[in-house]
Amino acid sequence: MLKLKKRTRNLIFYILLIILPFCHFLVFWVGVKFNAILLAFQSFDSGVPSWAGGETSWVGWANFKEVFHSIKHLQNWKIAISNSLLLFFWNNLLTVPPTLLVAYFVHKKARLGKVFKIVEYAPSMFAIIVKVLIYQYFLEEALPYFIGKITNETTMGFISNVATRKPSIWIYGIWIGLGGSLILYVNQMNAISTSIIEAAQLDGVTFWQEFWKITMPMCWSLFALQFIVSFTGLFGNQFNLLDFYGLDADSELHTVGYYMYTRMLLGGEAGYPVLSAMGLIITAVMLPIILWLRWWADKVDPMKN
Amino acid sequence: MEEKVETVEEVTETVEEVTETEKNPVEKMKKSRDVGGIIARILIYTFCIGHMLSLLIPFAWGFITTLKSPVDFRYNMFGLPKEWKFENYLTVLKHFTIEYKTVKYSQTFTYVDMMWNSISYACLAAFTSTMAQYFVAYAAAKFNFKFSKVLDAIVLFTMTIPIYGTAASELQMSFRLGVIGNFWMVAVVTQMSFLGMSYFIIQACVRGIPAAFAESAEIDGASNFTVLFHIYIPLTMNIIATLFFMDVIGLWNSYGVNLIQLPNRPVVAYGLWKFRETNIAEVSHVTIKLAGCFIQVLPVFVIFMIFHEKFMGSISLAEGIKE
Repeated sequence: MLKLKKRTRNLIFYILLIILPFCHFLVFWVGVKFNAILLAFQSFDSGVPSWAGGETSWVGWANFKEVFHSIKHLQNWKIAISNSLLLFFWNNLLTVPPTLLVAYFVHKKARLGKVFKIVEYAPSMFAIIVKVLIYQYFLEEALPYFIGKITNETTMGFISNVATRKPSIWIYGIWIGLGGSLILYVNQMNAISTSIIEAAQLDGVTFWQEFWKITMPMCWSLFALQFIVSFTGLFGNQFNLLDFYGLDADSELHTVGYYMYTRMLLGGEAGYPVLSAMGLIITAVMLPIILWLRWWADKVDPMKN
Repeated sequence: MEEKVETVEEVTETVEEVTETEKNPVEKMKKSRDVGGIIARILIYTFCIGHMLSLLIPFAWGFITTLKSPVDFRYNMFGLPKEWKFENYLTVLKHFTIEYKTVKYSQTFTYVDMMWNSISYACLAAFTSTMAQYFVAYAAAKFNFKFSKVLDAIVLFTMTIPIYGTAASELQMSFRLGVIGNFWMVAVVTQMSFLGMSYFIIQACVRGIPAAFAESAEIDGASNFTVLFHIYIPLTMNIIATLFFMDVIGLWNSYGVNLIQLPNRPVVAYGLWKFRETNIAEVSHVTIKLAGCFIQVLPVFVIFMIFHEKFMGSISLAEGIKE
């Protein structure tokens, strides 16, 4: 009897602790996703928002057809998809190997390692808009002034110059992205048992051998997770365009994430169904790839083999 | 016989060498000429110093620029200010304004107003979010109900299965539920999510505390509330504080909330974003705009300098957050 009473008390306390967050989950996660699926098959015709009594109608697959039509015929779409893909590979290819090497270097207790760690990590604490503004003014004002002094020629700002703005923004992503996951890697490397490293050192392991044969396999799970997270964000990431150009970046610079976000903000409710359809199409394409990537990363994990 | 003696001596020498190496295994590595390692070290050093300078120079240039007059800036782009204009910071606080307008209503926000909006929003939202995650993670870790496994599965599922393009649906739902423009709804109700990595980090910490603590308190008549608020929360305060400050920094730095949910309470980050295209004469110059940036960064910089060991040493996939 006493035991039952305690269990009931525990159950009441348990419900009290989880009830609000769980309701939040039902409304803002389950409800939102479910609503997104419904939206993809609807249309708003009256011009009055649905929350103000505007009428909606069911349109079947029309929104999906519109998305496929846009992808096939509109140049902007092709640019946005190709920019998103290029930026993803460019960012990963150029930021991950240096981050791993610098993390390994810091982990090996190199001189100035602590300073590198702080200076590389500190910017990730600052607002993106602040970093973008400083970088933008540096490239628009300071660098052209400096080059002008050396060459005695007037140089245009790198962000306003049509020829240099794209590489400038892409380089920004790499420049600032290097420190982001440095700490995660350093801490992961520091968690490797010292006895393993000492045993390898007794066998005369070199700097590179230790990196490739001990450190990297031990960091595989984090490396794979980082890659998958980055891949998952491929079509959702607006790649800093919102910070550089606000809501009116030139279409030549668009990414899929930026295009969807700005269209949601500027297009009004009438555009939501097409955006939802687009989201479902992207989910249908990405989900199997992401699940396969997870399975593969787990299968080839050197620590499990 | 002589040969044998030599062999014994050789063996002794070898044993001594091995013992020495065992005492200091790194010594052996140093002795061996790892040319690849030396070259790699030089290259990584060069890269690190180069990248570190490339980060520091624009920030240092930006900071010095905030202390220049517009004329000084134009003709002395890289030098120290001829006249130190600390009043640029005051100009930001006085003249940096954002106007929020609707058909029936209009309000002007100064930089100080925006700072207050940022502080109140970031602290309240971070507190709500951290505590919501804490309570659910604690409940799932502490009580052995079947539903705890469902909670774990929900968090794992939402973290691993991405569903794209739901922002429009979220916005529509926010309108329907009256979230848009309602500070309490945005800073409290919408922040009650328990999803995310912090859930597992908190769970690991709660499980790390010996159950005997709670059991002995319960024998003394402590209720579930007492056990939670007088034993578990104080013992895991380190984790709560780390997660809270990380949340505060994230929210302080974000302006997305003003673009979608709370346009009537602009935060500093949103102010800076809008500020890029300002026409207000007093604050339209680069020197003032950058001063606005550095005021925004200051609180984060102070928190970072105080807690940097905690932030940088604490997060690891291998160990969760270290106490």
